[in-house]
Amino acid sequence: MATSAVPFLEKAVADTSLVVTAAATSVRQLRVDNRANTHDSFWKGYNTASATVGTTDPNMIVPAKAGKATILHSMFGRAFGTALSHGVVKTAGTPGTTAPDAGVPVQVN
Amino acid sequence: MAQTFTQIDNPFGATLLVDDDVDENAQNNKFGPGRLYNITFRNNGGSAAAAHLKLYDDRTAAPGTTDPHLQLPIAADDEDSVPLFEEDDAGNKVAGIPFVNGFSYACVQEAGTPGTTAPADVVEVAFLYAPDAVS
Repeated sequence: MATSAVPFLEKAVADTSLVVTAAATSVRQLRVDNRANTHDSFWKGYNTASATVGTTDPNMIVPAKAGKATILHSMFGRAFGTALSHGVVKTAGTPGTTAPDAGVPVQVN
Repeated sequence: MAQTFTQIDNPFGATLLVDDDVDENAQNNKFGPGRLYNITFRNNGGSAAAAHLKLYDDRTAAPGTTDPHLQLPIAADDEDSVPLFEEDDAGNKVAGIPFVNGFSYACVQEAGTPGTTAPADVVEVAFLYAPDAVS
């Protein structure tokens, strides 16, 4: 089993994919802090180190409502067998390249 | 597939929905607006094929077309329990995350919006959901 992602805090995730790790990993805790925005946002985790937000199908999607932070715990970890990169946009699902009005802090453990 | 709804009294006022075989067929509008507290799932069929559980904030979702609001990857021989929480600007934390339109779900092999391929194995899922607790 892949080890859990090292504690990772990115202060402003948006529409450009950022690499958390280029190795296999798993997500056991996730905090998507959308409190600075007045619109809903969607965190998208990709099972590749070279994702294109809006085109690459995300392996995991977590919503955060306007003005709220979403916190997710996974007891055994959600697996990313290749790598983990991520982005945050205003649209659910695969499509969407519109950045949140304010970059969204994301913590991955 | 069989679905069982079990009412849980206060303090949650929630319903436990157990689905013993979630597949590519959308299970639409199982609840109205409310809060999803927890997802528990099991995929123990032994296949190497992964699956993706997709939840839609929508009364009428079409897997392969409708954008999922929440999606979890499920590996082969995988099981897990995933509690969800929400925090506001004042630091107040509440259990669950809201679905403001309705609650629908499906499970397919493909990630993201596209894909209608059924999971290779039986995927069992339990949702703890509180209808009407949107705030």
